[in-house]
Amino acid sequence: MATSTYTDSKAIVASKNWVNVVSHGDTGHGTRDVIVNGKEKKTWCKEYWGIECSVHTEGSKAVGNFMKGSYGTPTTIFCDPDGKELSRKPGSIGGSELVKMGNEALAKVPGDHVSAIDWVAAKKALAEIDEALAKEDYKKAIEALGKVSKSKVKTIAAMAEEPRKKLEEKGDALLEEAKGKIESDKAEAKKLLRKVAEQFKGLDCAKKATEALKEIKD
Amino acid sequence: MRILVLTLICAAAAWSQDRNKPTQAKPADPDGILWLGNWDEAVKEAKARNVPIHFALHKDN
Repeated sequence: MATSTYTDSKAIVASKNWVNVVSHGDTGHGTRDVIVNGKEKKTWCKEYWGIECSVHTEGSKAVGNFMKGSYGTPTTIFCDPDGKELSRKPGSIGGSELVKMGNEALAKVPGDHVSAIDWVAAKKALAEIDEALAKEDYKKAIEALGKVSKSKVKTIAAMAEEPRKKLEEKGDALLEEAKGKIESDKAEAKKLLRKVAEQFKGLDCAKKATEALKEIKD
Repeated sequence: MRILVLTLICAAAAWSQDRNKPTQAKPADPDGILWLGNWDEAVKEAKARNVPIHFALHKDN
């Protein structure tokens, strides 16, 4: 199945609608060196795309959730989001059958579903926000925040709330620092307020900074 | 007989050298199934995304 079902283009596309866990205790098949995105060199498992062997050996720890005593492999199991079994198929299956099983499982999960493509993109953007925040590059953090908050997928857009709050807090802190300098160092206060107004564009703290700038008399 | 033994030794040495040679990295397929190994992480992600979990018991020990 590793070289047929799991490399089937239709199965790959459909698999983005699920979370995939692989259990494979053996590592005798070895590894392969690959170039990812045309530049990054990585060592992947020879059997599965995009992972090291440690991933599929870790997956074998979950076997006890579904199998008691001896069991045959391969076996394909689909579960609901809580991990409760929905369907099972012992033996090898082809790409089309995997897609069918997955779609049937998906139909049993009511509500909006988030694809792995949207999920991975959101996670990447959230990491970019954290990285930019650590570097105090607020403009870049706001740009990355936009990628999450403007998502058409409600679940993804909601993920922007926490980093937005963090950014607002940071902007408010700078705003307070600026206000505290108005009497003693007006030029520095204005510089800080402009920074908040420009770098935190779209946030409440930026609006407050713009208002504060208007109120300062030269 | 000596020649045969020598030939065998040379062949074995060549084979061993070949085997230890680092393989040339090839471009990876641009897309594939995104696999996880940690069950708890899988459940956490499946709940967040509201999607099923596909558990592939491919091979055991």
